[in-house]
Order: sequence, then C-alpha cells, then structure tokens
Amino acid sequence: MYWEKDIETASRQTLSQLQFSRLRETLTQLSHKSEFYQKKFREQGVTVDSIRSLDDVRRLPFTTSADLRAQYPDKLNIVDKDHLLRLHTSSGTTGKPKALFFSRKDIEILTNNFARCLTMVGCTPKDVFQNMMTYGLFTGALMSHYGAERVGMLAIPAGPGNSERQLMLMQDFGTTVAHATPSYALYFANFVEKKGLDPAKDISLRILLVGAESYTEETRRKIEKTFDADVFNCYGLSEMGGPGVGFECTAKNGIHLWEDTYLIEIIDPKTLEVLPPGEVGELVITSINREAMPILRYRTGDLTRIIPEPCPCGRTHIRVDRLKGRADDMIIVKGANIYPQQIERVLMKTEGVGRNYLIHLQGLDEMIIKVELDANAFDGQVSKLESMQKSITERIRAEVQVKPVVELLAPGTLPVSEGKTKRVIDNRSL
Amino acid sequence: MSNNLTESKETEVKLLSVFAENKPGVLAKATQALAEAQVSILWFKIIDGAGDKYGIIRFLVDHTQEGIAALKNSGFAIATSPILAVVADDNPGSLSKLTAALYEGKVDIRNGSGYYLNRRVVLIIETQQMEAARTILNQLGYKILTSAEIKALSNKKCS
Repeated sequence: MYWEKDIETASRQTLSQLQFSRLRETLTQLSHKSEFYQKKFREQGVTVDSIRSLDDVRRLPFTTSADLRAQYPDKLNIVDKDHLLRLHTSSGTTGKPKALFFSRKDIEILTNNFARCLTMVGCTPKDVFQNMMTYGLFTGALMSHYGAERVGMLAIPAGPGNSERQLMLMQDFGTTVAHATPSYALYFANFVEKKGLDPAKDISLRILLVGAESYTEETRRKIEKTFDADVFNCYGLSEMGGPGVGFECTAKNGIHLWEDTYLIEIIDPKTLEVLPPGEVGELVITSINREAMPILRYRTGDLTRIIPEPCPCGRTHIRVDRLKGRADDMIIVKGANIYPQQIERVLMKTEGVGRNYLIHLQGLDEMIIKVELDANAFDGQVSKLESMQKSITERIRAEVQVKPVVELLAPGTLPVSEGKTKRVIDNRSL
Repeated sequence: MSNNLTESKETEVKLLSVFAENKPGVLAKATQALAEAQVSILWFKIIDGAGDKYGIIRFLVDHTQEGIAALKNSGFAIATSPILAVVADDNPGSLSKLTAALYEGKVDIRNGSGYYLNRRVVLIIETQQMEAARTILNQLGYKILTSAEIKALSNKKCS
C-alpha cells in the first residue's frame, strides 16, 4: 500500500532533480538568513552557485550535535517567530538540550511523511493506534500521533509506562497498532504474562512500530513471536524532525529514508570522506525541505550502510541497513572494541533468556552482564541454569574477545526507563 | 484411603521451585507472598547456584495452586516438579530399608529430604522414575501421600 505512489516510486532521475532543486533552495535561504551557515560557508569557501550537482554536497560543511548545542536557544532558526508553530528539544545527557523549531509547513511535511510510513507497513483508517512514546518535548510521540491521525486511524495518546492502563486501553478499545521502544515492548509483554494473559492471543495487536533505540534482528523476532504481530523498525531523530525519517517496508529488509525530504550520505567517521554504497559508516543527513531550521550534513552518529539493490516493495527511496548502534555506543573493555548489540545478539538467541539485560562495567575493566530469565523456560533445575550461564559466557567471549561474568536475574527485575533504555552502566575506576 | 498405582495430575504432589537472586530480602518476599495467600509451608530448602549469585528455593506447601499463583503475582519465576511424599516411621533403619528397596529396583534418587509430622516422618523423594518408585513403595506397604492428603494432614498437624 502506498500513501503517495507517485513520489514513493519516482524514478532516480526525478528524485535527483527534485533533491538538487530543493538543496539549492535550502542553500539560498541559509546564505541569506543564517549567520551560523554564512560563517561556515565562508570558512569552507563555498558559495551557493558553486554547488552544481548533488555530488557537490560533499563540499558543504558538516553540522554536529555540538553545533546545535552551541547555537541554543534559537540561532539556527531562520524564520520569523510568527511563523513558528512548535518547539521540541532533544535531550542531552549533559548540558543544554538542542532546541528544534518547526513551522506550519515543516509540521505538515513531517506529518505527511509519517502517514507514508504507516501506510507502507499496512496501517489503514480501520486501525487503532496506541502511542506508547513520551508526549512532550520529545518528538517521538507528537509527530507519530499527527501521522496516525492523518492516515485516519483512531489515535490513543497513551504515553509511556503505566502498563496496567496500557493493557486496559488495548483490551477495551481493540488496539491493533502500537508504537513503542523495544525495551518497553518486551517489558510490557512480561507484564501481560504476569496478569495470566497471553500477549499473542489475549490482545489484538497486529503491528508494532518499534524504534527510538537500536535493537537487533534477534530482538525483533522475539517481540514478533511474543505478540504474534509484525514488528517494523522505525528510524528517526529529533534533529531531523523526529520519528518518520525512515521506516521499514513490509519486506523487513532495510529502512527506506524519504529522499524528497532528506539527502543521505554515509561517511567514514574518521576521514569524513563519503563512502561508496554498501560500505558501513556514519549516516549523515541534510534536510532539503525544511523551512524554520534547515540543517546541512548532520552527523547522526548512527552506523549503517546503504543497501544498493532495488527493494521488492517498489519504492525507490534509498534503503539503509538496520542501524548497527551509534558510533558513540561503542565501549572498550580490556582493549577490545565492543558494541552492545553484539552482546544483545548472543543473548536474544539463547533459549531461556528473558527480555531485558544490562551491561555493567566495574572495578578494573570487568564486564558483568545481567540477564533476566524467561519465566516460561525456567524448570527449577540448577544444572540447567548453570549450563545456560556457561554457554552465554563462552559465546560472548567468542563474539567480543572478552570473557564476561554472566549473572542471572529474575524476570522483570531490571529497570525499564520511559525514554531510551540504558544498556551500559560504566562504573569503572580506571 | 488407598493409593492408586498411577496418580492423576491433580493428586500428584509437587514442589515449587523459585528462582531467587542472592540478595537480602528475597526469601522474605517469597514467604510473605505465601503467607498473604494463606498458604502454609511444610518444608523448604535453598539450593545455591554457581557463583553464589542466585539460588533456587524449593517449597512444599499445603495449597499448591494458590502457592503458584501467589509467587507468580509477586513476580517470581517458578517451576514445579513432581515428588513422592512417603510416610515412614521415625526409628533406626527406616530410611535404610526404603533406600535399599529403591536401589534394588534400580530407582535413582535425585534429591531426598524430609520433615516430621505427628511423630512420623514424611520423606520427600525426587526421581526420574516416579512410576517404578511408586510401585516398589506400594508393594512394601508405604503410604504415599496425595496432594489432598498433604493438605488435610497439614491442617490438623497441631492437634
């Protein structure tokens, strides 16, 4: 199903022409109105006229998360305050947040893009959409809420947490589509089971939109099996307008990024050179259809690769692989570079492992992995737990070259936060 | 009351095994859950897992189903395993006689324990060969308790 078939399946040539004209328009606006970019253009020796093709985008300056913080509160906004409709912020763990402004046209484009995403995965006006994301300064909930209403779905602004109420809403109003983080989806499944209900049978979810945290294919399968529903990976970031930057289609093989709105590059995070299609690097996004706050070559910190092959769904917009985590997610333990997702992959493939885990670094470079048990697989035998513990230890050692200490915990004992779940706690005294 | 050779699932006696992290208050939380559900603990034992980080607490209770529900509602991962609850005399040679008979019948005892009840002993026997053990003990005239009998006995154990 398409929301806007013409644009979603447009030829490469049509898309490129559209992208180029929108890029030029963006650059023109910035060169007139943005002190921040005027300065960057001068430093880089770039003029609007010198950008003659899409390839020239690599001559433009990068924008980083630190730039956004430094321009707080409103120095990146280029329209009059009268034209602004909404402010969101992207939470910083330290210091000031990033302030993000949206005009009426910006909200309209993002709403429409999210409606495209929902239609792409099979949502229709008949569906009931329960939004378990945080409403507020975070873009995730409001933007998807608007998108759901645009499609014509009944939208329930449930917000996160309060599992008792989530379950009640789902049962009483027949929710068919939910939007959640992977960690909350799994936590909620535990809650439903504790009530003596089966998440696969006793609630009518058929689609889960899962995003805001990166997660592995193994976790997707676990969520799908638990709820007997399709899970689609969503990609977004507040800096680029929130949750609908890209979505998986029903092929579940890569995330389509909307190229009429964004220009996509993959760069080598060390040399900053653009990488050829297919190579893994940092995703860099330029907004080319944004009024209040266009951002050039934003370094997302997310690692992925472009999937060069055409998608069987017929959409021509570029696909990127499931995100491999953020470049800054990487931890170094005993000299080994480790991505938490490597550990997650091992855990989620292991029979008897539950739904939540935590990587705890402590002492002098010790890695402790706390793993919740699957209540249904527990059979009361100590020997089985011991062999599971041993097998996880060995397989993680094989995967990351560091031997962890694996601790088993009762189901539902690890904390689940309402926003992004913290998978790594570093208390090392190095 | 006579023991049937094959017990149905309802009358079979089961132990509850609770996964417990080795941290303060876990045993208190589990027993409190049982207490609040008015479930009486007849016997319990803690089995340590590797590395002293967790263990398994095993309970024999009077009301098994209520006990399971109470522990589950408190968030515990629990499992059940069938056992034989055998009434034996409390005198020298009693256990020896019983284990010798099981040994001769090639029954492998995986876990064994026991508790006092009205000047007699209830032996808790866990084995993979439940039916063989049941047959041997029945032939020797041992009383094997059903879950209903455990319930009834525990209710008047103070009389």
